[in-house]
Amino acid sequence: MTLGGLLLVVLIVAAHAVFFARVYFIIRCIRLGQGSLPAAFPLLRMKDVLVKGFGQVLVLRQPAGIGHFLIFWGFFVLTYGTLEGLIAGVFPGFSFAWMGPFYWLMNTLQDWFGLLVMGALAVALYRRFVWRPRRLQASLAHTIDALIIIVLIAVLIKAFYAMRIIEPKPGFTPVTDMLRPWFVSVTGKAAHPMGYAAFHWLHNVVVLSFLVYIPFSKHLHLITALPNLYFRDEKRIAGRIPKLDLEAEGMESFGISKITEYSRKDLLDVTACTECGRCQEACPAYFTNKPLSPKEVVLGLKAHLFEECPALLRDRTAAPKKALYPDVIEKDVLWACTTCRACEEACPVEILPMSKLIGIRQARVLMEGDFAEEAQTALRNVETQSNPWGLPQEARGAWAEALGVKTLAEDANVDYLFFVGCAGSYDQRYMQVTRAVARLLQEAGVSFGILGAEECCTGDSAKRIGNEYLAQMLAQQNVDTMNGYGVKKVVTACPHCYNTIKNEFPDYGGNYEVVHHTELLAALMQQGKLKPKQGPATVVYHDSCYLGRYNGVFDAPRAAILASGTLKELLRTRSNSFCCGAGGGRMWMEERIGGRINEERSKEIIQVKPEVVATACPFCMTMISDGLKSEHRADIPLKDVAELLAEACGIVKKDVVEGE
Amino acid sequence: MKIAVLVKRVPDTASVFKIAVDGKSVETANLKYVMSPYDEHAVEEAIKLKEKNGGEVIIVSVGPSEAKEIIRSGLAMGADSGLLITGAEALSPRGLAKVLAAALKTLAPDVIFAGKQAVDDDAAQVPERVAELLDMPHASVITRFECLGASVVVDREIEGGQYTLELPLPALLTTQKGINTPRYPTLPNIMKAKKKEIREMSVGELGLASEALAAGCTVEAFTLPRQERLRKVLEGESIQKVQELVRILRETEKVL
Amino acid sequence: MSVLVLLEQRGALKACAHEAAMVAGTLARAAGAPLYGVYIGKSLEEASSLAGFGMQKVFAYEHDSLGHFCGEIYTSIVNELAKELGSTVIVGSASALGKEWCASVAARLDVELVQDCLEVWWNNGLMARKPVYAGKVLAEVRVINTPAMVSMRPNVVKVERDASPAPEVEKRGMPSSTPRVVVKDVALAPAGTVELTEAKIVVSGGRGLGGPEHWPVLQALCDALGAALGASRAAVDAGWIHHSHQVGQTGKVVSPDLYIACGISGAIQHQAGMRPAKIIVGINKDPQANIFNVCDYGIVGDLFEIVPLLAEEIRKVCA
Ligand SMILES: Cc1cc2nc3c(=O)[nH]c(=O)nc-3n(C[C@H](O)[C@H](O)[C@H](O)COP(=O)(O)OP(=O)(O)OC[C@H]3O[C@@H](n4cnc5c(N)ncnc54)[C@H](O)[C@@H]3O)c2cc1C
Ligand code: SF4
Ligand code: SF4
Repeated sequence: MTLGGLLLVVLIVAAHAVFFARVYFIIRCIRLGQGSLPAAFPLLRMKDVLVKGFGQVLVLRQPAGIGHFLIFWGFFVLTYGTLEGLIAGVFPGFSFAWMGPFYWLMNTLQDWFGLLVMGALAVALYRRFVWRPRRLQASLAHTIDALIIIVLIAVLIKAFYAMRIIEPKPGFTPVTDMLRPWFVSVTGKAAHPMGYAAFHWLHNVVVLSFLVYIPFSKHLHLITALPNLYFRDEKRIAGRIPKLDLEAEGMESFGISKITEYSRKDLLDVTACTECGRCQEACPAYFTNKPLSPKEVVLGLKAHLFEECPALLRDRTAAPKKALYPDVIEKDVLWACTTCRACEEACPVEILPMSKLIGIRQARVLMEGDFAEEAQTALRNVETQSNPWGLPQEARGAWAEALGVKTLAEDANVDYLFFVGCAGSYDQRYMQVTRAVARLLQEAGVSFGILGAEECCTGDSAKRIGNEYLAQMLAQQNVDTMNGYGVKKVVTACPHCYNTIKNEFPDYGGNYEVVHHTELLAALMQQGKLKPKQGPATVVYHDSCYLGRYNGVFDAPRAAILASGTLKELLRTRSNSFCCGAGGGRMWMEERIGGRINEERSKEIIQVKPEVVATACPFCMTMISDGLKSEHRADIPLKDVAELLAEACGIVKKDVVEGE
Repeated sequence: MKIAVLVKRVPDTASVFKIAVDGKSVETANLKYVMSPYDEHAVEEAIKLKEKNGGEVIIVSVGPSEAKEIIRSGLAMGADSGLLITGAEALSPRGLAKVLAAALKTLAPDVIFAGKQAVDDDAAQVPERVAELLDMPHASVITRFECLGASVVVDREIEGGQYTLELPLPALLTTQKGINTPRYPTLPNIMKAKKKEIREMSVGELGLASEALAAGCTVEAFTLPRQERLRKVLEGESIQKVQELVRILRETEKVL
Repeated sequence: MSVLVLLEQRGALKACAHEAAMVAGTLARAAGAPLYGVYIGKSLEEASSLAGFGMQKVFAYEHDSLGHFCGEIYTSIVNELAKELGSTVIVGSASALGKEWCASVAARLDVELVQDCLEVWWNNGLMARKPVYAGKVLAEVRVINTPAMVSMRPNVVKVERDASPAPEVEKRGMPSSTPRVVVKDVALAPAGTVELTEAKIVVSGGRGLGGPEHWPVLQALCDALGAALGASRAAVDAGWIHHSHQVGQTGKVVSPDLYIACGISGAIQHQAGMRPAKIIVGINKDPQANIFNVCDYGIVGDLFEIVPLLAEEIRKVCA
């Protein structure tokens, strides 16, 4: 071994020591979290990692993802050469040549990927420093971080090409071959033993610096992203908020008020952030200039984790330097979230920023009773009259009488329970939708009944505001009533009820086949039980977050619209749909900061010049209706999908409007 | 400092009221019960005072045993203990006040808070009577409260203005809406409230003479002014509609 | 047997004092009993305004320090006087001060009291009608034992005088006692500012108002009614008025006797704020507007025409 080789060995050992010390620290940080990482069904998890990780399908949902795809795979390909170079640095003359055709293939790929990665880096640089889309605008530290990485990789690739130019390797290497004459003409000769050694050193040193730098930078995701995909928490995915155990013995704290109260998966989450900003770009709160950015939430938690952990690792009871709330996540950040889940959908590594916020909300509400006064009014109303407006519980089924719809108390022998929801029961505007649904079901001969005054709010808003206690009481009460009648199938006219009954009621022993009214209506059309006549109107459909993104119901409402008119898509549609602003209990709070989310969405709707706007959610209906009015376009008719269908099926308007 | 709060279990006034068959009570089956809203302000003010000056808050109520739930909600807001006096359903405000006064005498509080009225019988007199019976200075419908140690300063509402009053302790005060925002109970406090003591006693135990408690007035009939909104759209020329409206508001509805 | 009426004053006799005297007079006549009045204040200047109620005598306790209500002194005066006169029925006003006064007197005399009566009459004894359950139900109460007290809700009784002369005035001095409660300050809100949540009448404007320059239209109606001014969120959002006027789910919940919604569509989020109102009037030019589903009386018409007419009519009729 040469002196140079020895020096390299020392560097390699040192770099790895630093690297692994940091990784070990991060693992210990994550282990400060609660519970264990979910690990059931390893084969499914492996598949996830292969498809979403190695296949990069989540990253590739955006065009910019192509660059990442190239860098990602370039990294693996180039690592092959890097390894060879490192070993050759210690044992001069070493090579992987013995691998024969594979060696040839890898050399070929390296040559190609070198160029592709350089191209991707150029684009990355351009996007960060010239074009600067909002989602990539970051603090100076984060920008420098990104720059360092780009420069390191660029230097690495330059050194690589230089080495290959001087010392060709077998393979189909057009890039190197093209560069060689130019190199020779510049340097005047082809053989550069000293030059080769220099580039070889440069390459090795840069590689080792990179190794050290990774776990300290945003490129930590190189290490944590794939595990994060592997350990995805199926209980949390798609916006489901698991039931908190409020009766656990000795439990003194509920929700998240300290970073270590998060689950290990939550903590792994925050270390996996790539700072890509896709979540932020999708976030309606951020878009309307509120202080919330899901990316900053994740990064804030990450920084907080690393800052608090050294002390906590020494002493689990150490007092935090900063309070999670309000120092790390401040009030206006916490409450701006509409729980639209756009951030979670957008994230290429399946980080769940929204559920981090819900945990803190739970602590604020359950431990401190601290939340917006207006929302307190709504929840108090829910407590007494089981609806947020405080209207009499007894009047809940009043809409149904004129249509001859029976309650389960009157006749429980029906196929479907029509779970109407608060808005459908009390909001005069949405009661028309309720009646349209009821009339369509009658028309199609579906046997159904309602709970009437026995129906309670499902507690969606309470739950997402963080009032787990109230939400659990409501859920249990509903489940008990429904099970009491032996309910098997449920149709609801509210995506929020739908999501709660379908995804959260099972926690309370309520297992039903749940469909949204648009799903049932689409099915009835397909079965020929409803025969709509197509009309001429161009309809624009606004996807409800809780129906679409949360539960993947995109096609049923569209099918119903297509049967009654022509459909026009918005720019942000389906899983990319932009929130109306009402979710997460925001329906019950004033929106004082920044622009109005519903007005932004209404502007997008107005832009595509619809003849009719269709929604499938009572909150969306209020929000879009208000938004259209604010934009002085109250003339555009706004209807629920069921109303469109009722018209197309020739159901008498009077039935729907007055229910008489 | 010992602080007592008088609270009452009442039906939520958003409920749909129906007259029972006897014609002089309401059907209770579908009613939702709550702490009378003005009492919530009284509890809040009491707890704020305790947080500032220390001491204990005792929630006192006369009612059926279900009223314990309402006392619990006061305990969940942060009060320390409760006292429920049962068996007094048939009393008029006059008798009720005597019962409360007798019970409070044994507690000897420094401050008593109560809501300005309970929104069931809307009698609007029990706290004042209690204070008189205990010979305590008192002030009603207060919108601000400040404790100066041996005395308290309050703003008391009058039509189109307010009095600022100073009362020596012990004193009784009845609260009006604007005085504070009742806190939203926290889960640990709800849990703790389940374990806090609620003493239950019957009227008999207070040893009051039954003649002194006998109700001197009774309800003969209940009527419902209105079940639902009338939804009556007035017809005619503008001026006729306006005149008709004013006539109705004055003569039929008596709100002008 | 006699009837005694508590005459509330603020400087001059208040309107509710005349209303109480009117009611007390009717009762006295029905029971064939004499009617006395009690005045406590600086000095009773307008005894003549008490003519027409059949009042024999008014006892005027006059002193500079009696200008402002002082519960302890006011109560003990009435307590003494009622005993002296052997009053069977005492009538007061259910005003902010009157309620406290009546309750205190009733406690001292150990008699029943029915507060906030809309109507009292004589039918083999004293009868009273009063709202209970925050006005959702009306109760007819029979007072079994006398002596007893009633207080009348202000602005309900129509004052009608007969030809009976003004009462004789018997001046009395202030009893010597030092009250424990000290009045430190009396602040009268500038006229026309009525707190929204406590107002008896609320007039609200919505997007139909068209712009902030049109508030005077509604303000004129508010002035005529002594009402507080409310708004829908649409009007607040447009920046036409401060959020503190917003009525609704995320604004204030108001519980007036009368709520007049002008140019408001009646969306559920607004409805939540006006839900406790006893009577709701909707004025909207769109006959399909939802306000007509949730109001008691509706006028279809342009608010710029209707509201001024209404203000004028009210001024005329209620003058
Ligand atoms: C989170 C959230 C919270 C909310 N909180 C509240 C709240 O607290 N309070 C609240 O009010 N709303 C609230 N809203 C808004 C609510 O949904 C409605 O948008 C709002 O109440 C509509 O106000 P408006 O009736 O004034 O306007 P519009 O609905 O636009 O109605 C205006 C009406 O005026 C009529 N009109 C127009 N010109 C005239 C004229 N010259 N004469 C007579 N009538 C005329 C029109 O026919 C129309 O019916 C909230 C909404 C959301 C999403
Ligand atoms: S759930 Fe929606 S509003 Fe909340 S942080 Fe994510 S994107 Fe933003
Ligand atoms: S949380 Fe996900 S989407 Fe948001 S910046 Fe991080 S990696 Fe990107």
